[in-house]
Amino acid sequence: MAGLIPAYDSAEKLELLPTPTSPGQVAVRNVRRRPDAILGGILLGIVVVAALLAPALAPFDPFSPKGPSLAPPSPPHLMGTDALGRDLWSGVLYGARTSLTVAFLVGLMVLVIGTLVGTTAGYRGGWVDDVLMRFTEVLQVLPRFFLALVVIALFGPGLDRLVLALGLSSWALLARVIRAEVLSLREREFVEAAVTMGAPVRRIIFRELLPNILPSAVVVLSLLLAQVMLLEASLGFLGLGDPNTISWGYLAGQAQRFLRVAWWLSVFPGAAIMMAVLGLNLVGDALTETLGGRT
Amino acid sequence: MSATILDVSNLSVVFGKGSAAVPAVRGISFAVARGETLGIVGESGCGKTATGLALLGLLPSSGRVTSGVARLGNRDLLAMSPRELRGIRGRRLAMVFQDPATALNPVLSIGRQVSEAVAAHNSELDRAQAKKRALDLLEAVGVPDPAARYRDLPHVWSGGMRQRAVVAMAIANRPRLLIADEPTTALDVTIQAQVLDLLRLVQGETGAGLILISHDFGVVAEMSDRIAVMYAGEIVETGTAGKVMETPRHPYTAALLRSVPDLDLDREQLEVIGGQPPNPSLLPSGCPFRPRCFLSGGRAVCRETAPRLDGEKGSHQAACHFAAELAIR
Amino acid sequence: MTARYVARRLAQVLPAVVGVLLIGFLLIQLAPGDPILALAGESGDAEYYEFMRQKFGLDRPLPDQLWAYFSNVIRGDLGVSYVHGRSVAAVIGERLPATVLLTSAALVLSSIVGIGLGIYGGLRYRHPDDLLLNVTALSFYAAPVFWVGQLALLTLALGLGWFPVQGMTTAGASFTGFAAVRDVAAHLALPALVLAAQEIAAVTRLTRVGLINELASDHVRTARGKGLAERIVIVRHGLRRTLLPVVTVIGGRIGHLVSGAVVVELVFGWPGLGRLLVGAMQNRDTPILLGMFLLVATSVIIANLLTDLVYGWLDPRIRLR
Repeated sequence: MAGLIPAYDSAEKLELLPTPTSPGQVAVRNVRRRPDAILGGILLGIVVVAALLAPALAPFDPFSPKGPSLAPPSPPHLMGTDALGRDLWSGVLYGARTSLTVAFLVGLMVLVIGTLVGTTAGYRGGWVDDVLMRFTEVLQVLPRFFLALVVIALFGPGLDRLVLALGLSSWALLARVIRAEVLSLREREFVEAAVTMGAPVRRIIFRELLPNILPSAVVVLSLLLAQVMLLEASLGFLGLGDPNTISWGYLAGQAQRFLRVAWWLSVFPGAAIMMAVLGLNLVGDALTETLGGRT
Repeated sequence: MSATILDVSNLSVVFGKGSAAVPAVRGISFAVARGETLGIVGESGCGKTATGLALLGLLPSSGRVTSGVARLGNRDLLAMSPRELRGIRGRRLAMVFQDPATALNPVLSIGRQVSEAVAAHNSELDRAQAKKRALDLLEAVGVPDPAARYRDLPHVWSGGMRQRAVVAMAIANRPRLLIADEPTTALDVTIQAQVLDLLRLVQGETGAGLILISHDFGVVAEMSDRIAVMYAGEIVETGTAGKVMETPRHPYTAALLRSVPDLDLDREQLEVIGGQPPNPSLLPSGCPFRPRCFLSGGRAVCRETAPRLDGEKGSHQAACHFAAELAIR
Repeated sequence: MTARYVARRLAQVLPAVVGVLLIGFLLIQLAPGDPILALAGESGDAEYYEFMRQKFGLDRPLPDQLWAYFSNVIRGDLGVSYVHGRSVAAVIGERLPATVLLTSAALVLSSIVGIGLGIYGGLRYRHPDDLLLNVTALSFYAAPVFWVGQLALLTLALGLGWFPVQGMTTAGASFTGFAAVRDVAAHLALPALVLAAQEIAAVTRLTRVGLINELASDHVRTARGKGLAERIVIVRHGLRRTLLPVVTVIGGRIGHLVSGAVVVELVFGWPGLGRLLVGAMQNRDTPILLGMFLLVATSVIIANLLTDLVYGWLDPRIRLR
């Protein structure tokens, strides 16, 4: 009988057991090869580089009306100029900063609040869960565009108001997704094992739950940030962004009056927005598919 | 001698493409005779489900048959056009799928799904006639009061009842060959027995051949006339049920048999086979069972040469270099 | 669909509406300066402010204010726009039909075209057709709606002259009857298409993915295993389940549609809420903005309710309970 349970040497063992990986690691490995993820990454990369290196890459100060008014794209103004003679290429570069800053800050807020609410609701359950979910239901219904308008009208325009308004109203979906994941993971054996071992709640959440939730959270977040960028662009289009910063939406909004004579004022800023949003969507989609569409 | 209804030679199935291609089934051959039950047994991932799906042409889009001939009657299943296959499926050849919870369409009534199986190959029947046949079928598989339950949606039925409905759909047109893929895995033990009885009954009445696929040796042992043991995409042993179970010739079969819990034997621990089935894309060199084999003892031939099934097709065959030694132990 | 399901769904509407109103109230209170500015605009005189103060109970304790606010809004009194000199409800009511027309046209268009394209793409999965469709849908999904509008304007209207450039009707002309309808339709075409573009992309993507997943599911495998004709497998077994969630999504995107409509109106000079909104922003006419916020939020709530009811009716698991 003992002969049936073989002792094998370590060399053999390597052939048997595949290296253990967390869902996050698996996802990253699979995603890296996908063409859509690669393309998305490149697009996003371009935008990030533009934002970071704007001062170095921009030949002109985007606010200074030095050039000829409404000049079509030609050297030295590769994307043309606007009615006030401001260089569009520089404007687009600096616009990247605004969009990315807003997206990043909103993303941070959404991540923190959404994770907090989602894990609490999912883990505690009971009336805490009910109350929090009621709250998120109301938030999910809110039209964020109009909410932002009201906020700007009441509190005045500015990047901080915008970020706060969007951040405080956009976490609902992430909270729900995280809550759903927590609910399903809570019953799994590895969590029960941790609880039985007497691990404190905080440790369970951080060590066991969050790493498994991370992939879904990233997917939701990437798609959310794409929405936020579009929202911010629309608000800029209406002239409601921060007056001290250049934003792509604002540039496109300015173009409306001169559409007949200056097509470049609309085409380039819009294309920039599309590039950034497309990048986010592609990465988000690639991640969703890799994770088996669990979200 | 009973007539052979299915004769499979050198069937291979691969999943994925190019460098990521994974061989799920590696050149297996077997045959099923009329009225006979062939039990295909093996651990998860050994390729047994892929075998069943390949015969029906129902592999997922990532899978494809790369070699083999599967003769049903006088036609090669693997060479048929999609249209021809559709004519065969549900009529000459049918499958009882694994998980009744997902195998049934959740938004269509069960009765509708069963009568659909009838109507698929009997276009001359009208709605009412098809429904009547469906009711007869449901009664035959042991569903109490089918008329009252005809319009029920699958989720209101229990797992056992659902599986009976799946069987009803499969036998609707009296197929010559039934493939049952883990028909009892998703069910309670008590229901398992009922479903197996049902399959046996169906077989008795129609004389159909049955391929019973399972990872549970107990299930296979109970029902099969012949057994094929699969490991890592290959058949490592095959023969009549009695011979394979009483005098196994492959170490894997022996180990599997030892691990079936038996109340009669006086044991304190459950026997297990150490290790895990190999990753199909990372097969060990030589014999795939080698890392877990108690018979090999590290002998070089096991590492160098992959063993083939010995003997004639139809006899008690095993794919092991040292099958003879096993008999002595 | 049981009365219980309907009742339960309806019961969820009330807390949502209350929540929205609360948020509106909260914003007014939190804003810097006198809350009266939010309710009566910034350009009123002392007498007017006093009148509004009384009306909204701003000199009374907070709970009373809340109650006054609630009861006013429920009765349809959203305050008065000093800029326009009329009640908010009246001003919004005037511009609403044009926006509703635009939004509805886009909704219908996007549903039909989106589902159609999604089915096509799902069936042609992994073919080059599908790839092209997917790429196109992705692009439109990522493009800001005002940009699509501007591009369409530049190329199709200004460039090729296929569509009128601005407005809802041809200026100066006075059509009647059928000619009038045709005129409006001609002006509606491009803005509706532009607004629908992003929605079509969203619906197409969802339908396509849904169908692909359904066609790979176990129960479709069973259906094929019965030897059913592929057409029946696709329609009866694949599509039914695919379309159910699409219905929910279409309803749920009303909020996006209206926001988009506002922007599209500005690009095409469509006389709806868009222009009203810009004017209100410029003049800090907060009653109008608050009114619009509440209106759109309520529309979203109602749209969600209707979609859920339709879903409940379509999904036999809920209907027959």
